[in-house]
Amino acid sequence: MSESQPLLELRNLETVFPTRRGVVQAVTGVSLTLHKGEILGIVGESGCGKSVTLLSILRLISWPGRIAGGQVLFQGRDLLKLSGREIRRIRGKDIAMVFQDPLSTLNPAFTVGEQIGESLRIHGILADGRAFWPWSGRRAAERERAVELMAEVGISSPMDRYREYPHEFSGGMQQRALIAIALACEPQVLLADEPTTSLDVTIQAQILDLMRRINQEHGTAIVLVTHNLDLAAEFCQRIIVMYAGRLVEMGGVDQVIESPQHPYTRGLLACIPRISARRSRIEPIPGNVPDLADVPPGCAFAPRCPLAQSACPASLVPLSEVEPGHWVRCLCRTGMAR
Amino acid sequence: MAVQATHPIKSGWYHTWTIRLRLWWRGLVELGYELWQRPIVLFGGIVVVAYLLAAVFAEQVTAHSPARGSLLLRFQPPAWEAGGEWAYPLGTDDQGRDLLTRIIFGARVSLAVGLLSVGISVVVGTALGAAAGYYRGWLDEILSRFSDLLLAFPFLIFAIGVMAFLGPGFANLILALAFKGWVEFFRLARGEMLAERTKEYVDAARVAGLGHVSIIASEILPNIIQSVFVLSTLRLGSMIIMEASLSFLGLGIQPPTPAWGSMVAVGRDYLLTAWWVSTFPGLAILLLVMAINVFGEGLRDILDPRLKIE
Repeated sequence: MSESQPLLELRNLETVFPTRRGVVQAVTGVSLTLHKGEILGIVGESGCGKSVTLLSILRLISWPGRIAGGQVLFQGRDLLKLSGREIRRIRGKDIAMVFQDPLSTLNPAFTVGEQIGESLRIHGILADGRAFWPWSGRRAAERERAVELMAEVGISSPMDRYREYPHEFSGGMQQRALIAIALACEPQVLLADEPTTSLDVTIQAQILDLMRRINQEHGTAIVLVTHNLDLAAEFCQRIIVMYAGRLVEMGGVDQVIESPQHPYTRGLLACIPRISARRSRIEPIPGNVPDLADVPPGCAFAPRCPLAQSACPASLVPLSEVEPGHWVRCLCRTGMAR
Repeated sequence: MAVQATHPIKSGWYHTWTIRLRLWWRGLVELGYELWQRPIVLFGGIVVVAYLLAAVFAEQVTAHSPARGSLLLRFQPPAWEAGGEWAYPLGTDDQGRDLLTRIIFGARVSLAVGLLSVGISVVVGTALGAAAGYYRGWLDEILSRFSDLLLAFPFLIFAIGVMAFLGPGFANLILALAFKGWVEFFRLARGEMLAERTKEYVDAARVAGLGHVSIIASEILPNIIQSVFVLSTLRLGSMIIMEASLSFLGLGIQPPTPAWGSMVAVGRDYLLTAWWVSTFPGLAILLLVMAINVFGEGLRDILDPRLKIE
């Protein structure tokens, strides 16, 4: 890891959703850093706060949910303190996002090409002081750039497909189009919320290849949210494991995958089905994810943990560094490291 | 990766617009083909267009004055009846005015009132409905309760009340009709907006840095405008009936301006001696409203992709 100032830094981020049953703590005290050109993976079960963390970065939590505390520092500026106009200027331009379901993310009323061109228009890229008249040449420039982007993300015969509507694209092509939209303004950070979940395996590999190429060619930092630990292990440089809205383990991909320290990470790794393994049974983690409206103050994983001690559910567990760059939130490991 | 364009990238506004025009033309041709498959809808469309042309070019297609007649010629029967002549194809009314001329000029009034009141209803109702459905909260609460209040009144009773309050006249008539007409467009736009606002493309637009107003106007509205358009064609018919009803009751367009409703009302007194005076304006209303409804429903079937999946 470089020692320079991180591109994006979350400090003690806290996002809550008030409900009738009580306040749901979707994200509790998450701190992480993202450096220029880095690929970071956030892994966890459904409902562990991965996606909410991403949405919180761009302040897209919709009412009644809100960000209750913490800081989101992008290039040293706290995004949580910006005005609506200022944050809109960052959305899509400096920090772009790719969603899980590409078909519903594309607007059915416009052609794919128009939607790629639109993201240029929103931020006045290619404007050069030109107004948006049919004769000012800006539309033509926009279309050329859109076609270029479509070619770059591997959409074949982009000139023809520019005029097609989202439903005329296959799932993989839709996701490529979404990535083209995200890339239009050459963002520094690309947030990817399970970008491959709705695609089949061969297409998944192509999309990941594409994202890796973008990372290498443009130096775009990528945050990949996924529930697929295998995929994260292959794609990311650093991995963060989240459980019940908290960060439980963070480290380089080798550290987390080869020597997982948190019992939850171990459980996750143990329940990945493998074709090659002799073992015919996969080992599920016993129990269920806790109700986020009523998380114990200490370790949220304690009720399901094979190593749980009496102190676990009650005492606050700090993140501790077990080896350089490898952090774990677990009482046992903390004790061992000491 | 190399750019593999199948043909060189052409640019310039000329090229953009030739593509756009070609797409519009393709859309029109497809619409024409669909219409050809549905002869009744096509017939409805032709009738509506004929009424529109007649209304616009009323002075050119008529031989007589709509307002001045000769009392010597009053109650001339239609041309094919005994005593009728082809100078007055549908006969004359109680003041000796040519009935066909007055019906054609009446189309102008009916269509103007219908189109303007529907137009105002569409603009106001869609804008408020979109805002209420998108923002929810107190705005939605107030507008929805107000629309419920208006919906509780029967249309005709409400319009009679408003006209009695405002007094008769062209502008007041449109105002009275639009004052209740917007509610249906409000409810439609609000409902569609509620369904659309949770879709992911709205989130994606926010991620891209668009503000709320731009999202409503340029992202969501194109997706709901089609159902608004279909509803507006169907409402046009009922607005025309409403105008005729009010004119019949003497609250709408005032004589001597020819309006179908008031023409029917005048002819009512002579129904036994000169049946044509009120029959033909009545038939004009019937034909136009039927044609509009047939055409509107046909358009809905053609345009709504949900109905195409059989």
